[in-house]
Amino acid sequence: MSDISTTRPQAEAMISMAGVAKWYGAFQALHNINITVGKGEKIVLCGPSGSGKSTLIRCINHLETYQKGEIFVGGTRLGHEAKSIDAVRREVGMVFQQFNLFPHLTVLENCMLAPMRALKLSKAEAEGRARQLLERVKIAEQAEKYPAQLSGGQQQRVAIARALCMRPQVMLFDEPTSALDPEMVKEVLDTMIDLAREGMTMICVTHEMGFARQVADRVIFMASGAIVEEAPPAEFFSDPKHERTRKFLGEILSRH
Amino acid sequence: MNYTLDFTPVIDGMPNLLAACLGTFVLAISGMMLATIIGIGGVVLRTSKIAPLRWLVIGFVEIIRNTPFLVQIFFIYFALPLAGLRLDPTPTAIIALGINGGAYAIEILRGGVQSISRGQVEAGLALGLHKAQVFRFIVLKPALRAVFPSLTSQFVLLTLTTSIASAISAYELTSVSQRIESDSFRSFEVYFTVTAFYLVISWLMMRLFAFFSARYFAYPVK
Ligand SMILES: Nc1ncnc2c1ncn2[C@@H]1O[C@H](COP(=O)(O)OP(=O)(O)O)[C@@H](O)[C@H]1O
Ligand SMILES: [Mg+2]
Repeated sequence: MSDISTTRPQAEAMISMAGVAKWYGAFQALHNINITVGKGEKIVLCGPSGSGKSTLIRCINHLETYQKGEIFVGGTRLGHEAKSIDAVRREVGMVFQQFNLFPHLTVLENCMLAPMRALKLSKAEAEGRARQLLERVKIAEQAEKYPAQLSGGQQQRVAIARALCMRPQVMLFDEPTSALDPEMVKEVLDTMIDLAREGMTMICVTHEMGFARQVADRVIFMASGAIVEEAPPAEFFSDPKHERTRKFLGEILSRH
Repeated sequence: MNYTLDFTPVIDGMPNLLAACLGTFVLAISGMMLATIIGIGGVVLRTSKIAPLRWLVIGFVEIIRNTPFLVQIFFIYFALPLAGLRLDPTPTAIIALGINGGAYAIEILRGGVQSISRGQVEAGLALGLHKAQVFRFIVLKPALRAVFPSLTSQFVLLTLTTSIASAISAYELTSVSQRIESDSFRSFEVYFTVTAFYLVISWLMMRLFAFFSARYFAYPVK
């Protein structure tokens, strides 16, 4: 971690997790997590199923509580009280594996709901913002449709636009392409690549190693609730330090 | 055996009977609105973090569902004045119908809310909405849609239950027909007509619900 973070200009830490630990009852899901993500940095988080990747990123917007350590997002300390949770959630967008679009709202309404209710934007402002972002994920012509009328890839792009409508500083992705048919993976990854190019700070849980090579500043590998290894993608793929990383990479790369 | 049908008293009383149908509608619709409010409010409290609120709702539902409606309506009619609140039969009947229907609506709606995936709630929270906003704007409509057929049967039942309000002489079809019957002794003719009227009222209610459903729950699902 040391040589990487000193060579990278990290004037502003967008996210920092220090000594974070989490338990589900007696089961410890996260062990002493320390991560610093600079403004505009892109992190790919990978690891075997059940290693705690979802739990980790869900702590960042407090969808999960944590019992030890500290999390800062954009300078705000994420405590367990409503005020700091609200403040952090306004800055952090999240995209889920299962899209989680609201079935009873049109694509446009999905994108307008939170800006109107959480940011108190006027209807016209919210609609303007929504249409602009739907344009950006190349799905503007579907604005009046309902989620069930879209393909998985289209739904996931709407979910990205919906999160962006809050103008977040950080985007979290939890296996955004895992539920997609193979032919739809690319359109979602392309959208994420565009977003990365525009300078968004991103943490992506994904096993798309091509995406990691192309976009990530660092790849973080987790196993059994702990961070095992952390390196820039070139180094991570060519010269993994730990046995568990090598084993994981062997499995993941043989699958593709 | 030599009974001759004579509908004259029914025909003479028709304006009264039709007005009474309207009375039944008013009881039913007002009762349903109150039941819906109690149902939604009850579900919110039922899932509250505060345990005594949950117990209150559970207790309320159990008491209402395990006692006869006739007793409930008498209880409200005769108990409220003791508490210093004197209400006419019709408002009393509306309150009783709302409370009774509300208890059933709570249980039905609870099933609907439970059918909504956790991911929907999380997506709302992650977007910065508060718990109450997530319920109102994200959970409520799909939950209502999921249980709408059950809710429709429950509310048709509520419509028919309005006839029990005749026991406190609320203004509705059964009590008006009882009056015509006791004046004319034409029991068969009167109740034959009233039966037909109730069938039509039930049918109209179902149409009303189908119309509402087609209007508000028309979004496609997979
Ligand atoms: N709500 C929960 N209750 C109990 N255990 C959980 C819960 N959610 C996740 N876990 C456990 O925590 C561990 C990490 O889960 P998760 O973060 O979902 O892993 P990943 O996303 O890497 O597949 C797993 O062992 C999982 O079984
Ligand atoms: Mg996961």
